[in-house]
Amino acid sequence: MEKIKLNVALSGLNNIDNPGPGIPVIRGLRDSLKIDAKIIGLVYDNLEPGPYMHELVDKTYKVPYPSDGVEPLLERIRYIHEKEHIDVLIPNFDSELFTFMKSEKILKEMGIRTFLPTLQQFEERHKSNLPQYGEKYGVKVPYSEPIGSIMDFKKIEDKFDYPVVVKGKFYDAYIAYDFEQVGIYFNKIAAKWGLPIVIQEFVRGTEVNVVALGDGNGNTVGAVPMRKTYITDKGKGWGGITLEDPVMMDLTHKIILQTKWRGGMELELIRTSANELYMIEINPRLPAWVYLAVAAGQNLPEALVMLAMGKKVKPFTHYEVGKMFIRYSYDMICDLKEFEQLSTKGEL
Amino acid sequence: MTKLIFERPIIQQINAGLPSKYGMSHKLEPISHIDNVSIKSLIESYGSPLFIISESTIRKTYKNAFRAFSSRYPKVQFAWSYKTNYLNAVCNVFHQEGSWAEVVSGFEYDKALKNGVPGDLIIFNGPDKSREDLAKSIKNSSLIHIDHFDELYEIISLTKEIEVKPKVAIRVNMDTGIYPRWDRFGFNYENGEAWDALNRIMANKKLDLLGLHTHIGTYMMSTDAYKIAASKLAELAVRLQQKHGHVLQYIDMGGGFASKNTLKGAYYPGTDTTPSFDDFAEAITSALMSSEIKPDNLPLLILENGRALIDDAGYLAGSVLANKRLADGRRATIIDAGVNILFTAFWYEHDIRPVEPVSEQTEDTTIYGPLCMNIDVIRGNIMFPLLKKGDQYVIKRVGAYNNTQWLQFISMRPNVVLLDANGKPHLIRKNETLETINSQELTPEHLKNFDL
Amino acid sequence: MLKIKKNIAISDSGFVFDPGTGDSYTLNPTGLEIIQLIKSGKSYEEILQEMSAKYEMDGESFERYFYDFTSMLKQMRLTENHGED
Repeated sequence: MEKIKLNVALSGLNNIDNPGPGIPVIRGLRDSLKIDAKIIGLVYDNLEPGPYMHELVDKTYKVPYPSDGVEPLLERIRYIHEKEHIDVLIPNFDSELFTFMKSEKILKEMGIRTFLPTLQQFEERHKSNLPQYGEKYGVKVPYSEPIGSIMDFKKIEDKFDYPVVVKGKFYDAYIAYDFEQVGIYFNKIAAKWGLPIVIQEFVRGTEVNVVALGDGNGNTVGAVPMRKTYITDKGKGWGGITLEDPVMMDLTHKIILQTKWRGGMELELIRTSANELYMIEINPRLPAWVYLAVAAGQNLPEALVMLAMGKKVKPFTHYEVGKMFIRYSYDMICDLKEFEQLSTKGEL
Repeated sequence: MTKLIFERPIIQQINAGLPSKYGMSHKLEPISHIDNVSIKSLIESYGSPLFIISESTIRKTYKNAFRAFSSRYPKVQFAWSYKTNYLNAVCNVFHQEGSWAEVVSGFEYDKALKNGVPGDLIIFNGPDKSREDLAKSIKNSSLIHIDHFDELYEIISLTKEIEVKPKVAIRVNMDTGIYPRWDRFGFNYENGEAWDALNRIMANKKLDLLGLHTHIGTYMMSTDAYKIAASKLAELAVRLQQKHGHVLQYIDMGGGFASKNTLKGAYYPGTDTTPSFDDFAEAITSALMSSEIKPDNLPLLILENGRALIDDAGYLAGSVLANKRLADGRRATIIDAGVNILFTAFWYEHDIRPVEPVSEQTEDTTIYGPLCMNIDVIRGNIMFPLLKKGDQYVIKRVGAYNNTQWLQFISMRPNVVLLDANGKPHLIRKNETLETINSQELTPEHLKNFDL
Repeated sequence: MLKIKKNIAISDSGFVFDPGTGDSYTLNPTGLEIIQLIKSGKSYEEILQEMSAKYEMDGESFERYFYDFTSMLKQMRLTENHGED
């Protein structure tokens, strides 16, 4: 079968100790037998490793941060599109999604396709809305409350037992064992990601995750459950293994069916010692460990691009159970000239 | 050969490592004109700093907001929130557009009357209404929104002295799923206090119960909360009719819509996240229309928006006083407007622009006001082009609260001009002078002289 | 006279690399021009003359910009710290 030539722009090329999903998504696309992709990297920082990984990334552009607003970002995308004719754009940072979802129509008019959750799906699953979400969709969730200041927490402290989890709007989660620690983490997260901060009941158990892709009509195109076999001090998986778990799969299908989820997602779940599943979070994008799903037989990045292109994709029904990943770090040797070019010209 | 334009030399460290807040810096477009009037010429005529208010922006914003509601609901009325900006010229633009007045003190009440607003089109809100204020507003048939039981009984006692039947509504507070919950104003819905108050008013028969009022919070970024609030008020209205056969004339949803300013601590700019008037209108009107209220009895929908209607119309323009480098090498720019006249700098990341085109180069800058106080910070850190001493700046979206909360401190409050629909400037509030301040002071005889 | 450290690498794109610290910097075109003039040993007066021949500018603001710029160079430790200034 002849491969389709596509120009795919994506972000999240920060393949560092707390990696973004960009590079794993690209690896999925590189493995594809259907797509011959030219990869255009979108980066925020001169030191994101992606731009220097030439076997994976063909060309890189720096882009303004989403916190600058929709307009400056679109202006930059327009410039890049003029040169590269982007077919599909895959934002991989949570903090970008809002901005790209808002611009979906404009991007489409420019000829750039995306495959993102709707604003409603995105807002509804925010950490601060988790209790309502759990109620609406019949999923167990830990008790949580949003706070706007540390004094707010003082007022509701009685509702929680320590430890509690202190979470940012987009990223970061810390376990706090007393009021003082809540204060420290509150300030730390608020400075970076703004308000509100969510205080969540700490649920003890094993962290299990599902990577999934919804077609926007309620169908699950693919889903692979995994348990992290080792977690770094930043809470990121260092190793993981695919599971056979009908309960997790049912839950995933249910959520995708009820929300008519469109795009990639990662369900973060905790399985307690009483064998109950708690949903901790829904990340509205493919996770950094998505390549495990590719290796287990479900090339979800490829499927996502095909769906974005309006192609029919046959849902995956199987995956290899017991497939493992071990994450490793690698000191790539880079040319100062390339660093110079990216930092002064904004392109590489 | 013509000479090239000189650009200031700059060197910047490439921040490696953790992504900073600034990815690719983008150019800050200058704003040289407001409604086709040059800011430079306005400063030349009226001094620096200077508040500039665009009448056409007020009218455009008002029409847009009113359309959002009136195209979805049969009976809509706006009431201008005086506290947001009670410069008479500004109030009268709203009154010309059709707004009633919404006031929260005896002072604001008198101001509205003096502006020519008929007494029965003034809504009197808030916890601070003296017996005299209440007596006056009863006689004028104003709409009194009762805040607490003490006020209810004060009004009942006044009915013994005054012939006119007081026109009242109660303010209701409730859980709308938002944080913080405003439960200090009005009667609570969930614990039955509001229902209790309504029953006492009905039982008394000396008051004319016209409506229900709520004001769920300020700077609301979520429309859902309004939907919940409207449903709860509608539910009270239905119960009143079922139990007492009493049909309410209006439901007042208050204000609190966010403007497009960016709140401190917010990750995305307000221009991206603030819901539109259509979003708010959809939430409120759909809740009322789908409630159990009979279609023939649909109450008048009153809105008391302030900030969202006026913020965009106000600008603060002025001049740079100096530049300096802070100890850590960061740039500091000192401007002639401080937090005493730009109160909102405490909670917004204000959009500040140069007036004239300057270099595309920007630098991480802190913008300070002129006060001798450490808290006088207009923007904590912003990628800003270097303006020279005397260069002009303009700050967008300052129309709400600044002209009512400003303080006279160290120097005088500046002129305020209004640009009319043709762009003609009108001075609508004169700058204060030493005489303005001294005219209010009295010096005892024994303190009039001294020898140094 | 102000001297740029000998080992500082300045490329035509305005990229500056300090091998002593590993830090890198970017210059805007005027910054690049001026730093190269400093590097070639020109005095302030000579630089002023050269720049005003080429650009539309007044001497007073140039002086301010120049000293602000060189104070940044000092702060970034890109200049020799011995010598009279």
